[in-house]
Amino acid sequence: MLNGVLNKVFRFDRGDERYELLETEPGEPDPLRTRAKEGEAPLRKEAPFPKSADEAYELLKTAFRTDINRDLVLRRFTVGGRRKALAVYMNGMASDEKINEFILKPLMTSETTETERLVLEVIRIGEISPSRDLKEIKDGVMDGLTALFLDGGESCLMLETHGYEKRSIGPAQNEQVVRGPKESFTESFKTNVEDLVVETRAACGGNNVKLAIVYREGVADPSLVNEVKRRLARADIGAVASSGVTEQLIEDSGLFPLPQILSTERPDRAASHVLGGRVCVMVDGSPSALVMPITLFSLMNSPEDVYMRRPLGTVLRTVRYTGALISVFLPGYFLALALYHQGMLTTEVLSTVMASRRMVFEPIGAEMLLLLLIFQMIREAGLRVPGGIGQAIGIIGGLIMGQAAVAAHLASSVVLIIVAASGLGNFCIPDYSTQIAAAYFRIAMVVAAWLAGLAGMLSASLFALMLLAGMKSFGVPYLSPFAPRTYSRSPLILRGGINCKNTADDAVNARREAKETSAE
Amino acid sequence: MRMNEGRIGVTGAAALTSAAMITNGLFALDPEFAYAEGNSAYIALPLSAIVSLFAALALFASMKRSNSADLYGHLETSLGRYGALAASICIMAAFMYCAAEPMIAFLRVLHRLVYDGVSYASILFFVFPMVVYAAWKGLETLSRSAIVLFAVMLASFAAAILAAAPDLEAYRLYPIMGDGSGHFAFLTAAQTLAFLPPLAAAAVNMKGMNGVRSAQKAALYASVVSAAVVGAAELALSAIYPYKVLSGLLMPLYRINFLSLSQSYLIRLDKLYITVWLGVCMLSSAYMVFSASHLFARCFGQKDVTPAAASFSLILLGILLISVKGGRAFLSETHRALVRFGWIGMIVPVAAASLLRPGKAGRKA
Amino acid sequence: MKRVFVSLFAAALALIFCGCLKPVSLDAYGYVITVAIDKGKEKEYYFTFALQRELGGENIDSEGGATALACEGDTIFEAVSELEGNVPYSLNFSRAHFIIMSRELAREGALCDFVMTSFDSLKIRPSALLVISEKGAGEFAGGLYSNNDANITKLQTALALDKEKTGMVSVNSISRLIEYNAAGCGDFCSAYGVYDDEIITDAEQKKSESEGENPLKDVETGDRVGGLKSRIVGAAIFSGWKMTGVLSREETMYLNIALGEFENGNVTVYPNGENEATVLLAFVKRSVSIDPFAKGAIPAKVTIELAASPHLKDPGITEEELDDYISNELERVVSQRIEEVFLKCREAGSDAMRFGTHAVKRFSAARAWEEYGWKERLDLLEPVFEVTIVNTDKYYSEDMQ
Repeated sequence: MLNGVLNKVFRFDRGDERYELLETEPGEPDPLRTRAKEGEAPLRKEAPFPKSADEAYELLKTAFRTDINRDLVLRRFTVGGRRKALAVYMNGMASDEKINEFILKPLMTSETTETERLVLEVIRIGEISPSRDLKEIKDGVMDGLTALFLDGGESCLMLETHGYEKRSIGPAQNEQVVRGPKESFTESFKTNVEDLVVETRAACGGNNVKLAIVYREGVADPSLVNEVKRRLARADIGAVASSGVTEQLIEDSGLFPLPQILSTERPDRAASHVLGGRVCVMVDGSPSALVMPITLFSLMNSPEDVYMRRPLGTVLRTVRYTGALISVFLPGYFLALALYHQGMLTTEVLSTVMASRRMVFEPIGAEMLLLLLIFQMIREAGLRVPGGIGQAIGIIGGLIMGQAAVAAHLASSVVLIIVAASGLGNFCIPDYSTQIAAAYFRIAMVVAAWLAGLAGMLSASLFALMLLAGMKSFGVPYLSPFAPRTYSRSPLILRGGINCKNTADDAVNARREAKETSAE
Repeated sequence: MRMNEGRIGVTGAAALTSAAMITNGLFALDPEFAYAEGNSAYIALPLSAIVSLFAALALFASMKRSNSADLYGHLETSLGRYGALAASICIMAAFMYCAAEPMIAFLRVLHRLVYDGVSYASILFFVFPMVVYAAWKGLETLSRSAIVLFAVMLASFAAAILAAAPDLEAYRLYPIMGDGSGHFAFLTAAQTLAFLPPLAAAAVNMKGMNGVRSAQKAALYASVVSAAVVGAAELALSAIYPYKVLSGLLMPLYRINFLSLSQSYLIRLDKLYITVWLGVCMLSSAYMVFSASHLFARCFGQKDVTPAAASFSLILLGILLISVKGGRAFLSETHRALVRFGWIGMIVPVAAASLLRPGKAGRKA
Repeated sequence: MKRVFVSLFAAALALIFCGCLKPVSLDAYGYVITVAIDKGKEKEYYFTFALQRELGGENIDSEGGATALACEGDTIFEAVSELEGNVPYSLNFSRAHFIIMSRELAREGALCDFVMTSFDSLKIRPSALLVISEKGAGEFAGGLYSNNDANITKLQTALALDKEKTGMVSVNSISRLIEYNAAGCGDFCSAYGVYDDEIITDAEQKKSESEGENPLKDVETGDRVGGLKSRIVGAAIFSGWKMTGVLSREETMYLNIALGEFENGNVTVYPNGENEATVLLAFVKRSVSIDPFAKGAIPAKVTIELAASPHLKDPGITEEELDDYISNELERVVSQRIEEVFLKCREAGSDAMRFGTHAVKRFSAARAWEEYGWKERLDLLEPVFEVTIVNTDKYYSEDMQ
């Protein structure tokens, strides 16, 4: 019976059922970074060029994975009712109007079936080029061209049919950059997926919301892709209405304060991750994409880092990390020193703080917590009310209330400055969810420092560190590539080069091809 | 099966082992014994780390020969079931010594020098749960936390030594090697009790470290780094305080910046340093508790390491409370004997496991 | 979720039983900057604690940067507990920068008692500077902060800077006192100060002016006004824990030169016997050799190299006269003065020049050094001081020619 109780309380009987993206290489690198030998990536076997339209149909069906890639259109028809043909294009990328009016219609009613005459007299498209290279054909179709296969033809005709939807794409609201693209995802599903290789499916639950799973085949680890699909399939509760809900349904731990999936409204950011071997999930009706797996360091990155030159990018990151550290630790550290370790403060600081706190009635810990709460309230109020008033609230809250609080002896000026500095540091964190999580950690540090000074802060920090160290996002350790180390050293604080052969996504077990091309 | 081993790489294993070796080497050092007959600790301690490395390498080589998955497997093939049990008990005791000794030193410093009028129980309340939690979480979490903390610890050592640099004086190092080779050799041998258990822990957790080669590499890196760090810290300390002063100080490293006339903030960071070192010590203690639990689970065929971790955590709590609150004469005598001769209890099973040929089971494997 | 709540509840329960680690807000303390120890009338000691006043305090202009609390007690703990019972704050010693002891107590060896019992318990940092006061330590402490220094902790740094600039101050912390006494390799010397009650401070001057008086009316020409009442006038030398002698500022400079702790300073010289000139001295290098195993007297040789440059001179002295003096005479004068200081220290039973720190290097075993008994053999020490002075100005001018 005792055994049963113990098992129930401590869950001794529970096995470890977590999904782990285990290393395919022999362990992480050693401290001297000697690289383990890896087998060469097998060369892709080139398929022969199809001789007939039917053969091309079968070939492309497999190559494009039409079972999951629903946007590919393989249109079979006959030229002038005599010669079989196949038009291949990507829905959303190529213009339907151009294809119908200037390719299909003239070809179907054409009197001639000779390829040369078709090009010269029938097809009313400006740019036409022949191609026999299947990779080139595939890339062209992905780019919005239409591939035309004719029975018995020696090559395929690549027809310029680009046709992007011309609706406006707005700038990113929450992930702004000075340099780099300003555009953000929109609510339109097809506009969003146009650049990426996608699998679409309806979300489980019967509300008919469409999901797209985007990844680079041959680059993303298949087990990772399968795990994402498995989790999406498991999320069968009919609540999938937005990317936020989807995120909660498929993340590793619901109680862990930091996000385990990156929610981004920037296509370039999503694309960069997908190129590196991560998986992106988009939900129809949500203007942001979910990227997984992620690490703490990818949350601390801004897309801007890559657009800036290397030293500037590194400086920006350093400032950002410093801001984040100040945001989390400064209030607690000051409180620990003020309550327990006064000898660490210089006499000047001690005297100044004593003078500023002379008439403040509440304990310094309560004062700190109160001001942190007020700061969060101002921030929340500023976000919720319309633009102009929001700014006014910031000014009223920040300046006038601060002044008034000091004058009324509700708060001391030094503590006010510390809370303001930590708030400022919080805004250096690029990801909104991480900002909120940092606020949790900050308050935990303040409480710990109030209870036990630096030892309390240490315990709280260790607890947080162990949470981070033990956490995995889709099988990838949350602190990689620092702990555990991977062959790729980015994204870390120092920004890596763009041209160099980096191994950016070693942590997600991306295939070698991707490791050599992506950078963040 | 829940052994909480996971898979850790060479860096993680080296960081964890090194953190434990440095913590034991610097903070579990009994100043009264180490500086009793002059100051030779800055040579003896790094040497002891290297001696421990050779002992561990011999053990690993023997394990490679016997093709064992971990230390217990090797002990069983070399010494038989009962021999393995006896050796494991000795090794587990050494692990617990390494878990407790630096924690006791830190508790004393926090109690006497950092906090005013605070009971040991209160300090333990804030410190101990994290040790238990870390031991509970297992090897992966421990190693990753160790990588992060190890970097912070190295930075704190460097900062403390640099801040003390203007006050270093060479005459304090004299007479070199104290009272000569006798005490020096004794100290070198005795300190293997601080350095060898973390290396043996690597053998215990070898499966999680991706096999004997990785564990061997980790042990090599950890020993070299710890020898360098411990040597540098002890050298700086010896050039700050003469041995007569050192022998009477509680955790002398905490006071490395106490000589500086400057009263600026950067010189007075000793409480911050000790907090960082305490963090590493907590991690090291947790690693030792985890390793003891792991070995125990292997000894008795348990498939879950967490009950053993819970039990060993309780034992550690008991040891800490008795040590800091006891004050009985027999306790201090036992402690003195343990500091001076405890290494024999560790080195004998390791030597036996390294030198004895594998038995039938081992040969079959 | 249930487990989380149970864990939080258990943590809260444990917290209630164990409690937090007794936080005390920083404004609930009075920060003792200076501890002054005098002989008590009824009890053994009379302690004066100077507390740093808040910056921006209302009365800062009138009374200087500190508040004084004084109390008698057989130990410092007794005094502290009595004082804490009468003021609305606790005393915090973690920022104590000065320990001042009266000469009377220092000669009796009272420092040993004080240092051994109070430092760790009161969390006084042993880097606190020791000053021996000629008369009352409390008065001397009062004099230190009587000059409207808002932050009197800077005084410690100022003294260290003074040592760098003039070499006429001995700046040593309590930790050195502990070290020399434990290691037996030398003796301690500390700053030695006097308190002059007749000096009128700025605060007193302003106060008197506001009351319509002229405090300067009775001051004789040449007396110090508006300055510090407390001044450092030299060094106190110790033998073990006991103070045994006093060196003047000039002697302190020669002591510092012999110790190799000198950086810059100046000496007044009389090249032609009448007119005076000031020569700047800068430390170049020093080496000491000693043979503690020699039979009979213990020979030691101290080689010192200094750089000199004339600073100010009387019009009655020619360039040649001065250069000649620096090259030929100054070396002899400096080495003679150092020897005099050595003899003075030896007479006081003090190895203030710390020959022991060099002697110890000749020993291969700690026990042998301990058994050697350096202090007892101090009388046998016969050092030779060889001073070389390079006239830097002369070289410069020759180079230019």
